[in-house]
Amino acid sequence: MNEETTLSTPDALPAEIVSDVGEMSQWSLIWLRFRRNRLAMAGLVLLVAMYLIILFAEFLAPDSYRKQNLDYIYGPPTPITFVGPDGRVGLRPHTFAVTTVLNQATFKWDFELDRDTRVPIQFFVRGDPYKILGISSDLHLFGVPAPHRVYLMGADSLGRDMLARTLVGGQVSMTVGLVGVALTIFLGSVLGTVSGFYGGLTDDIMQRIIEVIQSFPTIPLWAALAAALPNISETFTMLHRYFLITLILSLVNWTGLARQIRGKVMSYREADFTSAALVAGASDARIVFTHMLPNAASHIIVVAALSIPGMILGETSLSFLGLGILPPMVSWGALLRDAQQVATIVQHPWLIIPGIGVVLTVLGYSVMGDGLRDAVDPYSI
Amino acid sequence: MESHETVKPQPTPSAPPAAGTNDQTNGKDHAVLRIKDLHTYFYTVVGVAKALNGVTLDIPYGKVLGIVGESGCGKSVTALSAMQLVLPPGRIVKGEIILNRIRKQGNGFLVTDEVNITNLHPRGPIMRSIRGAEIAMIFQEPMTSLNPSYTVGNQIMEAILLHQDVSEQEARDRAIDILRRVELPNADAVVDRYPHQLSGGMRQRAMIAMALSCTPALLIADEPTTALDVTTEAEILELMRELQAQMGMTIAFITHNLGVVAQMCDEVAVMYLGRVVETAPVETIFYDPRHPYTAALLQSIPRIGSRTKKRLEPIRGVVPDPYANVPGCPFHDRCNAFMPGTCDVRVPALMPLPDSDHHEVRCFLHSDAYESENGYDG
Amino acid sequence: MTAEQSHDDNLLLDVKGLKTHFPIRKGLFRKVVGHVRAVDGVNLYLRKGDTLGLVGESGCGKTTTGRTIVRLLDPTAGTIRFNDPERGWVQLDSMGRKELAPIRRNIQMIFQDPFSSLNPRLTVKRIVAEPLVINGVASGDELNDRVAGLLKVVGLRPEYMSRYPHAFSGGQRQRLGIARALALNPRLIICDEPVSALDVSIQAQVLNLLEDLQTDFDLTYIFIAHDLSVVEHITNRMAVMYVGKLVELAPTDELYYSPMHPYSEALMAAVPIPDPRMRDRPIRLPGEVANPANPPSGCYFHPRCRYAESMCSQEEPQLRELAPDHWVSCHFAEQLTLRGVLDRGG
Repeated sequence: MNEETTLSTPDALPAEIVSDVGEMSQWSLIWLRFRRNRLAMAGLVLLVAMYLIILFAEFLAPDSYRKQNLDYIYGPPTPITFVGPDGRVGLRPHTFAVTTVLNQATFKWDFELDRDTRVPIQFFVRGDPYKILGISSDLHLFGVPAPHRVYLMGADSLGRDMLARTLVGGQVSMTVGLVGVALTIFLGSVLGTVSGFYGGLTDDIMQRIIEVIQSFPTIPLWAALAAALPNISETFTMLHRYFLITLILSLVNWTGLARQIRGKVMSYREADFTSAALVAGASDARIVFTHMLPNAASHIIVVAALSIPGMILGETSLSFLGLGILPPMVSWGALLRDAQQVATIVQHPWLIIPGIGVVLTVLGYSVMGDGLRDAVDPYSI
Repeated sequence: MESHETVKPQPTPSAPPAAGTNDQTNGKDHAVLRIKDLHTYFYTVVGVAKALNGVTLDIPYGKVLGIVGESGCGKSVTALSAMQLVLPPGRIVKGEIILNRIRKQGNGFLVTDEVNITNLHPRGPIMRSIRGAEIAMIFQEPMTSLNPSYTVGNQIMEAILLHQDVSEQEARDRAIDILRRVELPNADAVVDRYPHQLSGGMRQRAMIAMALSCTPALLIADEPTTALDVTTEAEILELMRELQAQMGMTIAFITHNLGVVAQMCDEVAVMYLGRVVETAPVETIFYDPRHPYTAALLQSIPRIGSRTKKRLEPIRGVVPDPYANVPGCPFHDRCNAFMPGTCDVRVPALMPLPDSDHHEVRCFLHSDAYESENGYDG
Repeated sequence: MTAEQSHDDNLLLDVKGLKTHFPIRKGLFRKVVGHVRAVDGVNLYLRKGDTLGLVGESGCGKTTTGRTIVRLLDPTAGTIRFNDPERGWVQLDSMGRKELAPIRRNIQMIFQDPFSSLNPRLTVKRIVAEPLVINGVASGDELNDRVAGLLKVVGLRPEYMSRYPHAFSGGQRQRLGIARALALNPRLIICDEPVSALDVSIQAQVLNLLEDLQTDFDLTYIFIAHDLSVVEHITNRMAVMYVGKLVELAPTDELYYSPMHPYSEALMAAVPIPDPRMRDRPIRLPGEVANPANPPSGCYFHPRCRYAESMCSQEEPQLRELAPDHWVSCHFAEQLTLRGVLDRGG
């Protein structure tokens, strides 16, 4: 073998501006481009913040989300003041004691603030026990001494703290989308790749199945499947129900991704780099895993990010209809059941706060997904 | 519907009508389009790409000017700039493009009018009336330049109706007529066909028909035959030659194929990295190239019929990245006649050679003149 | 091809009667309603060290022929016999994937588009090493060394191994494709339009490289291209195809300077010569290139041929050897005196 270069002219180094970029993998390049998109970064930051908050949901809330207080049904948020019992402005926030009085005229409960009794809000107090990722604790970020309670976001029909319920509800709503999307990615990629790679009859059959599934109206289909789930019992716990709900949601969702992956795989199948691998003797498995899936990966991620909002809204809708998450488990959709009537919302507007959670999450994912799609585009085939 | 005739002088927002020059020469000294020191830059996130970095050339009346260069030299951007079709993030930052309206008079020519295209708004009425009627363009890929949703006839009629004050029936007749002139068989059937129903060669003819429908003074052809088979290419070139002779059109022929240049062009401008490096009549370019790039290019192509299988001489190195600001002469890092201290410091100016008319070279081997500034810093 | 030739040890490849047809399917049940006869009866042979040019215009089937020989496509009919250095003559057309695997190492391919022939997600090292990895030839440090060696051979610095394809220019990417094709030390390389997508001055670099590699590594090429100037330069033999059929197979000089088939003559007359003093009128070919799904009767070229007679529309001409190594498929080849490239300028 001739060790000298056989070219008469030595090769020139690519221009400097390209050489740094050339070392970067596709992922680094995608991240670089993504970072430049301020809106997408804002979405990412928002989502990360929200996930951190719901992770520590029960720490951040003063009371357990199940703790009832029949003295404070539909109670409004308790005001916070920085004026201490001695009348001076201080660092410690205080809230007021509340007494519940039955209004003789309207036969409704009135909540009167006792402005003389200021209850100090303490930080890092011991309260109702809970578990985060298996670790038990009873530490709460803030709280008030018993028997008083502080309601930063008001109370629901059983006097439970809406702040606690919203945060804990977020745990379900924001993760059901992730689990569902993981299933969607798996099913969509595998079936889409098989369909696109083998073509022919397999592809035809798969496409017809997908079309049938896609032609079902989603909400009724979900509702029917959810209604068919067994009742909560010893063997079928709420956690089981949660996972089966995510499975149901992704059962329809995978078809969209499968279609797109199929299209991509079909175009990669014709690409010269695939032909080169075949000529070198590559097996089908190698072609799929080394050549097709990595190229499709960026696309998969974008589709995944953009379908999470759909799943979250799906779970919210199901729970709103009473078919998804059932009490005592909470999700934002389940919480919004209490906010169905306009009259209720008018009188107790704080009940709609879980809806804000949904909006923020969906916005965050949409904006981030758009940014991802733009960042991914120029480098994919 | 705007009506516009190429002969009548129109009021322009810039220069007043030039004094008529009754020249007895054969139009060689009259340029239909004069491009002076044109700079077109693209401002992207990655940096500024100076696609055109001081392009100066004249397109002589009644002749075919070949604009030759490889990828990245800016030949297509030159055409787009002349049509004010440069889209953001690109724009013309400096220089002038003057369109001369020329009319044959007796034995000579009369320059009736001058329009400064660079001063016109790209989407304004004057520029739009010039496009199609006075300057027309044909592109490389006829499938993507013809709208697949409209018939060929419709697209030609659209051009006619935009610029001429005629009825629809009259426009259709003219469309069929021009389709015949480009030698499409069954022109009255083709007029109702969609682009996808025609073959590549036929589509290219249809595009030529569309471009010629308003008898423009200048036709810019951007690689019109690159995507065609060699026999189809020969037919299209033959067609263009005939039409040019019949209609006395001026053609700017952009290509990278030196064979096509030799067969089609009267004058040639060689471009490299956003500048014109040599202009000359076609025989001079092939038999007496003075710029090292032109000479190297001619050495690097296989010549059919050469019988001696001489080893090809490639040009070493690669075309520099368009975002990199190359100091001095754009070709110096690949040039065999590189003079350190001179070629990498200043940009040589495009100067006529003393011994030959119409032969200009941008090289320190032939002239000491240099450009005072390296492009445009703005 | 005579019986002696097929056992001639100097021959590397022997293709007879190759046909590759693609079914046209219509309707809900994808019924086959016709065939696109991309390759419709091609005979050719290669001697060791040849560079055979395969030319023709769009739709002639040259790329399909190349891909069928490499078995990226399955032939519909015909035989492809390859003189494998270890196994002797083997017949590729009927082999399944498993049988082909060890023979594949000796037949490789270079592709046209420098941008889609390299997987953008892989580093250069992985791309060039892939044939070695698939065939279990080397691993670890030895793999690195071999990749470095291959990069040097094609004129690229080995440090570039860790970079991704987007860092390279078109010409450099083509060289990477060549390095990949060389990895397994093949005997035969099918070059599918390797310089068509490159700039004119870069084409020379890659062509020189291919020539040097041929000498250094004892390679045989099939060079598929449409630029006749490039093909004349690099090949010693030529095959001209028209709508799936081989019309002429001859040494390059003979084809260019004294072609025997009217289509070859038309091609030679159509190439624009880079010499302004040699301007001429091409031979006008009426009509369009025939449709491979519905070709004309008899000789496929007859509707456009200046010399056609009634026989041409009735009978298909056979490929005949009219001079040593010079095969033509035309009824009247002996009677015609055709113009070559140098007879132009008139």
